[in-house]
Amino acid sequence: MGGSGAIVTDIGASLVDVPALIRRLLEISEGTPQQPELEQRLGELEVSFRHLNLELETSKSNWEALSYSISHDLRAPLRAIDGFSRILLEEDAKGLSTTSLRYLSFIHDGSQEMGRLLESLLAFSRLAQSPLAKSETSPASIVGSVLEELGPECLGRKIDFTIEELPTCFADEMMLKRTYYNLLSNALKFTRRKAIARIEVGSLRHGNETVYFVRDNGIGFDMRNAKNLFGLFQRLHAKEEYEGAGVGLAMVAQIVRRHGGRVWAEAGVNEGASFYFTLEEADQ
Amino acid sequence: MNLQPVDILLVEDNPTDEELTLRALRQARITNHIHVVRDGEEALEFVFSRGRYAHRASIREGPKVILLDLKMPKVDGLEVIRQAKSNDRTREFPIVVLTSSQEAPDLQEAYRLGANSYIVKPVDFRQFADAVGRLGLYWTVLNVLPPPNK
Repeated sequence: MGGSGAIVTDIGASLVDVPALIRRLLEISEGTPQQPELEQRLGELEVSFRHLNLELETSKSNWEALSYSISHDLRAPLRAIDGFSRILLEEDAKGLSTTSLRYLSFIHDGSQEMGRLLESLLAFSRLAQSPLAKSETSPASIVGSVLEELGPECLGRKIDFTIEELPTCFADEMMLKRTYYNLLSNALKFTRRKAIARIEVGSLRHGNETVYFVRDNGIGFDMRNAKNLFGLFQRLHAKEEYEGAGVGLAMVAQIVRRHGGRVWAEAGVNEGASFYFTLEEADQ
Repeated sequence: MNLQPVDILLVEDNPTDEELTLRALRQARITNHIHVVRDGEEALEFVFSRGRYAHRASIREGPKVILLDLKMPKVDGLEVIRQAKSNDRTREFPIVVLTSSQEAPDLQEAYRLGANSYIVKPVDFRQFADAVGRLGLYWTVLNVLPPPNK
């Protein structure tokens, strides 16, 4: 009995020191008829707990190793593919047939795409590894600063933003900002073909939960195809029409789930999309 | 036996990265003398004028800049920084880390050991060539080093 009570996770501030709790329970049960059974069951519990902890630590170091590999090992060969295909396209073009040049441009395009995917994967991986730092957060001010950053994308467009009152919450500010950034940048992207884009940011009450949402009147999507909407690299529209690696929603899902919340969407083809999510409430 | 002063010491184990870097420096019209070594051990021999480079002890002027990869066989880049920067004779050589890694531990350790600059090699060749050209010009033309006095 006994062993490290260190918890290798960050699910929330209210995590319990399990071994200490076990010791306390044993103290309380001393001398009682329940003690033998309790001792046995608590012993099993502690073993399970230690295994889980170990798995979590292993998982974390796997993440680190993976993202290091992505970050470093994959880049050098990709740089070679990108570099030499580009050099051939630009400088040796005269000596090459049209077909050769065309194939070289496919190679180059492929490496560019792969570079983008790598960066997205890296961003996703870093997010997964960064610890949660929750504090009293104002979604309203976060949305404000996100819209400022997205300003350049709104140039020359008619966009009708509606931002309702948003209750404060207990969340990691940077991650919440990333969530709104991804949702709003999607909203802007998929309303591009609308004469007037309508984007709404608000919240609603669902029982005793606060549900935040971002709604747009854009191209939407078919709900029947949306099984893996929040999966990594999942795309529901042709790349030629709407660019993007398909990592934005995966990040949103990861962030929301780490907060203990849920995220879901409702949409129709050409009928816009609404994304809803919950986080812990400020007053629990 | 080459006794010409070396302006740029390129420490790079990857042959394609070496070729791309040299090409980028040429494109930026940097005609200074560039010497390439392929691992940290050879880099240290060069910097300290010993081993294969003992003949360089007579040359007063060191490289104007050392472009240093981090992940290399034998002796890695961080160890090169550690040794070069902890020795009075060699501390002045500017070391620019040129690596694929943008991992925080590498960044922190490189600067902690005294690297002058840290450039992450872009995957995109155009950006890479641009970065190498710019840093080459900066360190060989713009940057000023103290006169040799040892």
